[in-house]
Amino acid sequence: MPSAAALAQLEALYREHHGYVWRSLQRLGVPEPHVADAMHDVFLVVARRLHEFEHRAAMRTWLFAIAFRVAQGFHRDRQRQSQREQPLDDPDAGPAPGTSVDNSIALHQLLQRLDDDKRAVFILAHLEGMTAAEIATVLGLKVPTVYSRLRLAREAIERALTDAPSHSPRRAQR
Amino acid sequence: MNRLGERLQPLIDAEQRCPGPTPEAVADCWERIAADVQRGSFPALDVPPPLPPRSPLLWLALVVLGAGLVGAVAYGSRTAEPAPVATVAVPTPAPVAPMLPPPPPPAPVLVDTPAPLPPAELSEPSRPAEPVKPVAPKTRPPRPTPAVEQDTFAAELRLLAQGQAALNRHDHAGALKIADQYQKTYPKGHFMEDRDALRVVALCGAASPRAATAARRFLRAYPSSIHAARVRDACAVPSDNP
Repeated sequence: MPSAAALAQLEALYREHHGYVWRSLQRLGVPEPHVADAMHDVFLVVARRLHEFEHRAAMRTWLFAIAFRVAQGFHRDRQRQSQREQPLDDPDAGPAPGTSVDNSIALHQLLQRLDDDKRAVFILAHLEGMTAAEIATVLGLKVPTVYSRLRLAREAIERALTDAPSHSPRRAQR
Repeated sequence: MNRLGERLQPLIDAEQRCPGPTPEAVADCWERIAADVQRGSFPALDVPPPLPPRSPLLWLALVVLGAGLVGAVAYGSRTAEPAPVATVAVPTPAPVAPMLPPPPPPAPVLVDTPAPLPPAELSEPSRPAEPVKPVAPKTRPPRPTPAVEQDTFAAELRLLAQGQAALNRHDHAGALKIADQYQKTYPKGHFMEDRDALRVVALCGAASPRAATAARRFLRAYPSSIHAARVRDACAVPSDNP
């Protein structure tokens, strides 16, 4: 049974970071209807270990690492369950152009073209602006592995941007 | 890369402008989290928090200091200087006084000076010094002796390593004895947290009735200790119950 102070600390953390966790889970390919459940899991992992967290380390780094694992678990479960089901989000389906929401969806669909490992590296490098060394720490990888995954991820995203004109910013900005 | 960044930027900007979860969804999610935390029902997934940057540097410093000290001891024994560390056992007869304060020949002249003496007092041998010819090939100018604080630092490390070795052998009584010895010898030592962890793990290993209390006290005193997980494992303390 946690103390009231521990729960209050967790709540403050939740208030501050739920937006970041929500967005990270979306970027990591968790579909909209499941993001709340995934976020619930992320903060339960935090709750269990919060007393060990030393505030000199970056909280967001830890949150992303947890979100990554939760998303991985989600994808594994989903793969097992839905052999016959139609995927909720088809990565090849282009977004309807025109609004910022469409552009946001386009970003998530682009990211879904990558597997879990490359996607996480790409997000941390291009969307979170982390260095290779920081990414290696977050994901528990060696720095050369980070570089190699990042190169492959960039190639795949470049290809996707070129192949699918609906994903291009010009079309989306119209 | 830049081109890719340029092409991605509008998509990222749009994502940032996109509304996140609704306030209802946020509140609902928090209620579920709080309820589960209070019930103590956690998912199987476990991701420990990242280590603060201090940790690797600390270990690096320990290694460097330890290596430096060992080098200084070895150098000291070759140049017929009094050894800076009193607890290093040197198997060959040293040309000067032995490293350890020798228990058998208590200097009869001195009144009742106890055995542990500062290194400077040991420089006068109790027997005539032998010629120093065997150490001739490498003679260097004597270096300044390391600070006394560093001496205890290395000796403390060694003592704790012995305690850990005792634990590894499942010699819990031996480990407890070493923890006591550490406390007696270095009441304000550098590694009190490590000493306490050693004691708690040994108590738990020996199934002592004091073990549970000691474990709880340790986890309360050092909630973010690098030994916390080990103590929890050894003492079967649930991770949400510090």
